[in-house]
Amino acid sequence: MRSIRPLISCALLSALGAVLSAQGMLNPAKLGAPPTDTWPTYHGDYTGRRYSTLSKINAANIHSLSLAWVSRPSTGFGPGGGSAGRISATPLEINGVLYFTAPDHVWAIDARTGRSIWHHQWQSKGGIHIGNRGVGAWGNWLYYETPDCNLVSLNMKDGSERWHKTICDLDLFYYGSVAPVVLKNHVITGVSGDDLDQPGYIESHDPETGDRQWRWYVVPQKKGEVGSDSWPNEEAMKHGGGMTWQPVTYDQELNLIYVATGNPQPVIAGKARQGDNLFTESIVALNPDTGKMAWYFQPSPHDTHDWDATQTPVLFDAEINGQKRKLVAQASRNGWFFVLDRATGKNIVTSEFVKTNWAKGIDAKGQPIPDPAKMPQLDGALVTPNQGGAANWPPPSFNPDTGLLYVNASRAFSVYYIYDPSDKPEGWGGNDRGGWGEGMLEAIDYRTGKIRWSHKWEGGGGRSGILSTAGKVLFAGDASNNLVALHTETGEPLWHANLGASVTNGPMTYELDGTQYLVVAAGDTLFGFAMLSR
Amino acid sequence: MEAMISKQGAKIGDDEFTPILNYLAAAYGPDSPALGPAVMPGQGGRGGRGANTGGAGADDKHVVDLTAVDRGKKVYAAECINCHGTHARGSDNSADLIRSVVVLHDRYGNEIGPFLRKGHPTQTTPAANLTQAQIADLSHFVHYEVYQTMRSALDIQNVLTGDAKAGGAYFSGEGKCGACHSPTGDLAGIGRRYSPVNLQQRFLFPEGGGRGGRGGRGAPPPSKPVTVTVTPPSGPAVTGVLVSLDDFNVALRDASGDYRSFKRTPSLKVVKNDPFVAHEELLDRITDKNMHDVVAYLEGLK
Repeated sequence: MRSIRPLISCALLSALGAVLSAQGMLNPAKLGAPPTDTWPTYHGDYTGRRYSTLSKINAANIHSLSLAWVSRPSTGFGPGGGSAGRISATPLEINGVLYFTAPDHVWAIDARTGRSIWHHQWQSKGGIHIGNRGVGAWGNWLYYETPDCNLVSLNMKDGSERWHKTICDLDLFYYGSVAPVVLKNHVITGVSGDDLDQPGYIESHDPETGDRQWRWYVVPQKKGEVGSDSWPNEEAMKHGGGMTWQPVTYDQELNLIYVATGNPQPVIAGKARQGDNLFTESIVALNPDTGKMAWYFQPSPHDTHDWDATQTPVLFDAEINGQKRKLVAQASRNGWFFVLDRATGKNIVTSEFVKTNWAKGIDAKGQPIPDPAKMPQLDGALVTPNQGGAANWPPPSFNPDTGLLYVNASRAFSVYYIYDPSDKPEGWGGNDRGGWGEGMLEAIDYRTGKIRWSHKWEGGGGRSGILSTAGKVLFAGDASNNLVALHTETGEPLWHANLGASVTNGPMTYELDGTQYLVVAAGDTLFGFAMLSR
Repeated sequence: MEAMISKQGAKIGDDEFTPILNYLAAAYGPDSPALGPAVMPGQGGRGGRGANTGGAGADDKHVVDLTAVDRGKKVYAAECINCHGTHARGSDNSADLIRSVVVLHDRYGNEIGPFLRKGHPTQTTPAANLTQAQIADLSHFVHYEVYQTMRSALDIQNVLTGDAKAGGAYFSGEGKCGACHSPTGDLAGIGRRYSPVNLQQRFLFPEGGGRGGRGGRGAPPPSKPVTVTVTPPSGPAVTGVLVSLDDFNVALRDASGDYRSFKRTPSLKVVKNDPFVAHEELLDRITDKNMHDVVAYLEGLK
């Protein structure tokens, strides 16, 4: 009997595995593991590295990369079924099925063929429909945010709605666009919107019921709370912004999530919010079980340029001065690169990854010090980066093989103006205008913050996300609608395919049946490439 | 504007308030250069987003009727302005109506009305005596003010603050502008042809484009094209207006108007001729004072 039990167990597990696979259920062990046959979160795993250990597509054979399928999802309306607009979501891949979004829409397609499996549509009551980053997954369930402020859970099998919960107030001009991240028994959501002066926050929801477990406000809500001394008064603080536009990253061992927060509000005209404006434009470590803050670091104290510091806080373990450290790095929209100890928040590296003109120097904490002369002025201040920033929402990649963080960067100038000179400007009491810029893909050495190599995009800025792999290739979009593969060590362009539209998301990869696939969105279409065997 | 702003929150009468609001209407109202014909989020100023589901807020958001706004201004001036201020932004002792959840949830008075009628203090007429029409008009006025604080509702005030003489010295000296331009040649009368804002944008960013942030605006379109000279290994060189250039291909339109494209190889020579390179280099050197002085100088070239 003894000898049979394991066999029975194996048989049961195999049968269960087959059933789970047929139902599409996500194996919990895949969450947080390096993404290979599964890509179960926005970044592939919890680290935000967007690095794959797969190497069947590599620098030596990249010229044989083939187009395997094209999938143009339909919204079900209009000529040809209706366009998805711009797909900025990174698809999840679970048991051979890709799940991805556009505002108000979720699709499931076959990861081997691009064939449509199901389409879910949300009946919208409004909100900004500028983009949606994708779904989160747990068990048999998917989670996504709608522009009209709902967290919706769907059945992975057929896209039917399980429940929905309100996560923000549409009348206060919030909206939903973030890809939820599921960890432990938490669905972590963020909020978007900076048209009026509202506080940003992050929430945790129960993955079974959708009930809210906690909410952490980015800006203190009462005088006396931690960070409140960085605001002139409670009114400014409570309306101080700090939207949580991007998915969090997560260290399972430290049990901390890393939240990157958006711009303070009023965004450009900051006269009535003197001070550092904590915890806007900060990297914040929170306990995911309680929502309590462990530490913070602020890349842009008292920003007045709309430089949301919401670029991915990328987690990796690497050596600093011969010692293995747990690190977090960010190439921030303000043009500065930071490496921190992710257990403590202590700064290790601060450097410019493009030349900027807005900071007077670096303070003792490693944070840039804003130059008041380069804050928006009535008659204009010439500033670099421009409002679009040196980096924006498209996710970068960190490659542990090279120790380089790759980011699609921009060096651009514009003139920042104050429109409302009153003592209490609100909303958009200013803006920037015009500009000249150039785009380049930069490989930043985490140890020094220095640029190891920089590849200039001849046609201007490439604003795509990046994937890098153990195959010594990285994938990015240029400004001429090309998906480009570059060598991770040298930046040499190795391969390209013109997709007819700019790359609009972060490329992702997975291996099925021994074949490595590469999937990328350009405009309203997904393209599946593969290293097909003969 | 400065004088008007200084009165924010102060006690002033209707006779004083009316000219202020008229000024505001002229400066920021529907017929002003800063605003389009409609006033609701997403339909505001140039560079704003489209309305409907692409716009901020709920689909059933309050749509402002400008005629009602005009009537609502008078109700506001009579009953509310002493506490809530010219722009309804409140004071140390009164609520900021732009940020009020009651206002933001309101549609045509359905929240504001019941709130006021609970006995909220007013200046002359007790809230309970305000008519439904007055409350609706008030609602239009307050929502108008809310939308006026949103992206792109306002515009640049005045960029003509520099010293024209210093600007002239920079033009012919450190700025090296005189290497290509002449105040009596190509720039003669330029101060008549462009507004100061466009002068500023055009001399900094002659290539145009560059939208700035969401809701921001680009500089004026370019006056000269970027050209490229491509020399294949077998020759001859081909020069034309650059159409596209990336790591793999280059395309141009030659002097006869023909479109030509080439695969880039190590033996294909590609030289980009950017007529604006001196302007691009200037961006790293010029100070904001230089910039304002040059605008004043150019504006004086009538």
